[in-house]
Amino acid sequence: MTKEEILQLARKVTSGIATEEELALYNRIFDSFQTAPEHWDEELLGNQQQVIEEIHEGIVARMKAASIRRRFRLKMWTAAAAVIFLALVAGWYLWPVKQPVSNAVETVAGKEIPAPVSNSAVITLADGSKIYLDSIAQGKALKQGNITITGEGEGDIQYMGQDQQVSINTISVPRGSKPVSLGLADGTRVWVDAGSSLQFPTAFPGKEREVTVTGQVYLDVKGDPEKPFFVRNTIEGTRVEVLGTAFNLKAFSIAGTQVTLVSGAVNVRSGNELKPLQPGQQVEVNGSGHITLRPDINMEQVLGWKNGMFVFDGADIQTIMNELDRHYDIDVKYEAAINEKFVLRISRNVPLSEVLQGLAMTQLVHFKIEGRTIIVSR
Amino acid sequence: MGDGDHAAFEALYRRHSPMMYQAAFALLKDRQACSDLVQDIFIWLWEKREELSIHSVKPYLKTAVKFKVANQIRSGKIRESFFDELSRRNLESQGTVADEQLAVKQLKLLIQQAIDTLPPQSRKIFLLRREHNYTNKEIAAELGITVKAVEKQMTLSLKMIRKAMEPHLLEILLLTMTFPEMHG
Repeated sequence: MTKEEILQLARKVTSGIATEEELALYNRIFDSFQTAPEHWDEELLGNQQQVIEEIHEGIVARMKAASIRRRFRLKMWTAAAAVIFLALVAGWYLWPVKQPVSNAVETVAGKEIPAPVSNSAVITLADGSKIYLDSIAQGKALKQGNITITGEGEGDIQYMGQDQQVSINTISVPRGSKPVSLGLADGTRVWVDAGSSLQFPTAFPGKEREVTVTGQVYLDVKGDPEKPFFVRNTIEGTRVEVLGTAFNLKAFSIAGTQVTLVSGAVNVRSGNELKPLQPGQQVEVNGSGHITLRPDINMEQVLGWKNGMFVFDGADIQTIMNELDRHYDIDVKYEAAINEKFVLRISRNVPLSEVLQGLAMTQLVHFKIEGRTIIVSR
Repeated sequence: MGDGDHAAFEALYRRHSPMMYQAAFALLKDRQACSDLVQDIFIWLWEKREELSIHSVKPYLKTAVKFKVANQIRSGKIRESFFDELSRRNLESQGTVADEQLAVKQLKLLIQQAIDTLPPQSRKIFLLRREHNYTNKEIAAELGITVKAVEKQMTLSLKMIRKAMEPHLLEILLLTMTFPEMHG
């Protein structure tokens, strides 16, 4: 075969237009160069271990670079949001202003309230003893029966193993923490928001799987038709039956219970009512246990807490302050009723004053920061 | 990102990378090029891990090496002695007919995966060209669009694909497609 012929053949193969005969021919050429199968010629190829390690290092470096690029893209996106935001601010300055914007957020005493920098959580074991997330050193395992608990890095805990003996553990994430991610022994992953807790069995030997939630969690349930998964909610007595799926459950006493389905299928049961959910839908269970379906919801707003964003798409001030309360661990006092709805999207990584500034910019609300107490007024 | 993914990926790498490196080296005889090639394939595999369903890993990875090597040859990034050696080769089939059929099937599978990533209209155009050897004019008539539209769509989607697949294994596909009429 001539040089021209092989170049032509390689071009056809790589552009997906080679016929079967041509593919077979190329395959023969490739094979004809192969030596004894699986024999590593050290003289020619170098030390196998060394070569493989070197390539591996390259791969790890590129994977890291790719993940930094992804993070950077996210930052760029936040920057774009800021540009829009600034544009809005500029717009405000063009209007006659009643009061200087800088006074809209007043700091009376104390320092800046920063965004949470770490994940904290307490796991209460069946015997009542408590483990703190920071003490589960990264990669260091802890045994509970046949189940191993490991810290898998920042704010990430994994339960592994199988056990006939079931113990009930509770993980509580305090206000002012970043959300914590927990891998259950059955492969289900749960993100627990600040100010929330989850009660769960260490192993799942039985016919059903069940966990109990207070507050807000996001569940990515490992599908298993043999073992249905149920989520109970301590506040409303709502029960969610999961059919292999990812969804968000928000059940703070103040808000009623909201279940939002991201993918898969769930049935929400409250008393005698049963509502099947489609992806992208949300149901709200009110205090008297009645289920209301909301077919169109802003998923970004629902999942903001998990994605590091505050997304308020026409939210009232109480809803917003409750979110800020959990994230910054503050106390809120109202000196006036604010009935307007607010639109805001901002990173959860900024100090509280920046978020308040964003809201105050509308001149519909005014904030005073006294230590960790925020006073809301007109 | 599941940690299970990481562990599986590591295991896959440890198990198959020596075979891949050796297979590529047999043709390229260039350590750096082979390292890059193995790296590219695993990076691509990692990035596509959620989209790919691979039933037999080893043949799949070997096929990926074959494509990568073909791309090296095509772009002239291969030692000159390769062509001399090739001219003296006996190109009778080495293995059994069944082996060869299987290898061809694997090659076709990878090509199909790349075609599947094209937008529907571009895919149609590509297949009309490949399966029926249609000219742009014939494609335009078949799809009820203008020749200009065929050309424009092709250019656009090629750009799109180039952007999406640049660092990946199947960049080789379609980036290298030539459309004579388009440049005429």
